[in-house]
Amino acid sequence: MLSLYFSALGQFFISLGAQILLWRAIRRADGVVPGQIMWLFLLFLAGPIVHFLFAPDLSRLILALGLGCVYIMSFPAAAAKSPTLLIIDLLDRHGALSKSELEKYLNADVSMVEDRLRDLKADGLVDTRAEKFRPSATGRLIGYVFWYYRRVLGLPLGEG
Amino acid sequence: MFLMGSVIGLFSPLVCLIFHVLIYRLWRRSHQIPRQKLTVLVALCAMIFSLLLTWSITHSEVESLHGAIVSLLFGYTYFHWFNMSETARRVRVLVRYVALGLTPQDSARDAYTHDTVLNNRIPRLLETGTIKLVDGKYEIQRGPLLFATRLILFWRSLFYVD
Repeated sequence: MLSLYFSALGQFFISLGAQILLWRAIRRADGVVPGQIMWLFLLFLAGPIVHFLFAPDLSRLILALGLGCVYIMSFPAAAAKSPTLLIIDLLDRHGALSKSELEKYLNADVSMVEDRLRDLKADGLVDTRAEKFRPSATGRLIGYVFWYYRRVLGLPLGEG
Repeated sequence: MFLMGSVIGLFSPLVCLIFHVLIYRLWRRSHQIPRQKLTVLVALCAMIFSLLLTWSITHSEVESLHGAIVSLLFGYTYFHWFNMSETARRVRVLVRYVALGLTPQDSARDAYTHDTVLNNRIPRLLETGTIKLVDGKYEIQRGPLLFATRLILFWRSLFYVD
């Protein structure tokens, strides 16, 4: 059992090392990594699949994909400076703060809309050629998937 | 090796979704439970389900444990998926466009302010015990989310220079 875990973890850490190098190489001056989602999928999901083609072991593949999925789902929160993390970090660094003080610090730290639009464009989820905001086919697909998911659960749209 | 446990664990997100839908559709009071807590509970139920199903088929403790670990990985993925549907800002922009035809120019600049962000998150942080309100100010509490935040910000520093 341990050899299975060491093998999958080894695969994961190779992908992680490659990601650190890649991010440092292709990151733009404004901090955006073009095609971030595509690169994450290639490194952490396609990597194990390619490994599987050369050394078939379905259990290792599934374990490596599980680790890859956990990583891919966790990374955007760090990359996009999630407001929840920022709130916790602000309280950790500055001590107790009132709501208005938190709002003041957040104003200095996070651009609520512009940064996200920039990321959506960099990931190819918004049509950059259109004058008005228009999601690409992939962007619309993601929007529909999440919308239907919330409807299936019977919950309102997420508030952000 | 451990093929059955791996395959059963792989289907955890589907099991989570079925449990989640059944809970929300059949149990009206579930809407009063904090959504994140309920989703964690759903992921844990899926893990127990994987553990028991693997055990019932293989009668192997080690393989059942492996099935539970794989299930936990995919259950955690499901939990994040749900969180994205709740709070991710990029997802919100895309969903508002396809569901309501609203562009960020129409709505987000006006409606999605720092005040909105705090109003959406502070109650959740209070519910989970991550922060506490003392004399009108919010204080951080020692706990897993604080540890996770420090870890994630360190991790971020490997990729980005702020």
